[in-house]
Amino acid sequence: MNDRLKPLFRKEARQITRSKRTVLAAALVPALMLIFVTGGDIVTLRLGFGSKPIYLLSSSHAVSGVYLLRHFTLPILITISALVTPSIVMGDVLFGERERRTLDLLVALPISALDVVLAKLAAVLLFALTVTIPLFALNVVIVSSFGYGSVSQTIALFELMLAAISYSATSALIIALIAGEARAANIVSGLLLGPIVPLEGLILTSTKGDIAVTICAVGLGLLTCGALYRSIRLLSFERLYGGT
Amino acid sequence: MPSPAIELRDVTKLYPGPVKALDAVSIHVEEGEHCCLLGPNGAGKTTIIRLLQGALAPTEGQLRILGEDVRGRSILEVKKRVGIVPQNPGMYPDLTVREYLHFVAALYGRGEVEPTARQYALEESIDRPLATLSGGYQRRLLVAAAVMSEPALLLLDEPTVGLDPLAAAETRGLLREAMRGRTVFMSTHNLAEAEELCDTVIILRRGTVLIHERIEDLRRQTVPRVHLAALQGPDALSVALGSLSLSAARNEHGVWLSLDRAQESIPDLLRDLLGQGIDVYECRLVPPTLEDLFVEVVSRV
Repeated sequence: MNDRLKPLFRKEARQITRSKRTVLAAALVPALMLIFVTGGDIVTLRLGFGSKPIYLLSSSHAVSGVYLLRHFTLPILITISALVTPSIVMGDVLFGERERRTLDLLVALPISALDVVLAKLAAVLLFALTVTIPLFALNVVIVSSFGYGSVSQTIALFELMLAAISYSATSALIIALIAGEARAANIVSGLLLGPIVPLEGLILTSTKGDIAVTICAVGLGLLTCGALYRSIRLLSFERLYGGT
Repeated sequence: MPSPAIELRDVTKLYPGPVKALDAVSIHVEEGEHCCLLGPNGAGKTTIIRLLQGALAPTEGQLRILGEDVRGRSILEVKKRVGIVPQNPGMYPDLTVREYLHFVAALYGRGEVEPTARQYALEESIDRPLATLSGGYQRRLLVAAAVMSEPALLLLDEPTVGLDPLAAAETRGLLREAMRGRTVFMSTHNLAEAEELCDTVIILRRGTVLIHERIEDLRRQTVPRVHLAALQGPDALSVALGSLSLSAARNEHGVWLSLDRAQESIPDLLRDLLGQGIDVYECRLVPPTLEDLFVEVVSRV
């Protein structure tokens, strides 16, 4: 971290953690998905509701409810959780700066637009990891305690979570750079994040085993690289101000 | 020959539309100059300040501050020698004055927070969030933040806009102190403020520079005005002046008269009027204000 990024990062981290609304909004969905929905699914399985065979796109033979939980439900829940937090926080720190007109204060200082964005990205990623990793760990404990987890699956899901967090933060950045106002941002956000879960569902149901989760993680990683490259190409204070 | 503190060469800026905010503007501000950028709303003042900050990119032309191209590699190092007071910016609701000043000092790599807060009478508000400060204190903080690192150049964008008269006067007092020994480039549409704080003026209109001169030189080029009042009333005074081939603008108590080399010609004028039976009881020479100069320049060009 250079001399400019350190104070900028500290400022961003301080602001994110002080915004109760942002913290609550960003933590609510992951908590709901990784603890309550997962717990509910496990209870359903234990009560015997998942005993009927289910047919997936990948094969003609049926899979069990436990397979569905491990290879479909959990990756989808983890992806949704990981997409939500950075997207909310990154949108808040970028659009908030623009809407409150505090960007004028930053522009006046000896820093570049890249410094501003890197510091925000680093703070948002750190915050997102701080929120999601404990919830993910709790999720692993719950799933494993009922004998539904494995080491290889946990690693694959962790990779998927990291990739989804990175994609969510970088897509929020590109949205802020190309969308002039909040309504346009919502539309672009929908276009960038909306198709992720259905596409992932398609991959998970058409490919068997943990490799499907790894494919999804690699795909999100590539999308992250693309979004980051495009963001850096577009980046300027004029863009951060909402100019096109 | 040292390079100018600020240099704009044929700078054009188009906004989407397209709207031409600046049209081939060239400006040189010398080191130590206190230069004021004047112009009506939409003249391009804030665009120039934002271009100098690096917040906007010019469509054409070149901008340099302290000898460095604004889009050059070393601009961030150069910006450490520039203090900027933005125009009425938003304030963070979740950062205190102390935290903000520490943040600014860290980015400039120098500056003492507590002494600066004391100097600008911000100690009592030092642990308050920025957004809770009054308008006057917010401006006080911005000036303190801009000056804390002892910059060589100050860029001030409408520094008193939106303030009540008392807070504006206080801010001007702080600026007068802050400007001492520094090059200053200030945009404003407040002519009295420009006159009080600056020694040169650039008048902009519709994105072009009309003039860049010393205020004193401009004043010398403008004919001073004299206010006359007589016991016989403004009508008789106007008639008498008409007989001397002088045209005057009448008001409730007397007349306004533009007079070349006024100090030399007033004694003769008063004698002539007395000769015509006009008893002048008030003769007041009013040097042209910057407002008069501004109106004259804008209407002349």
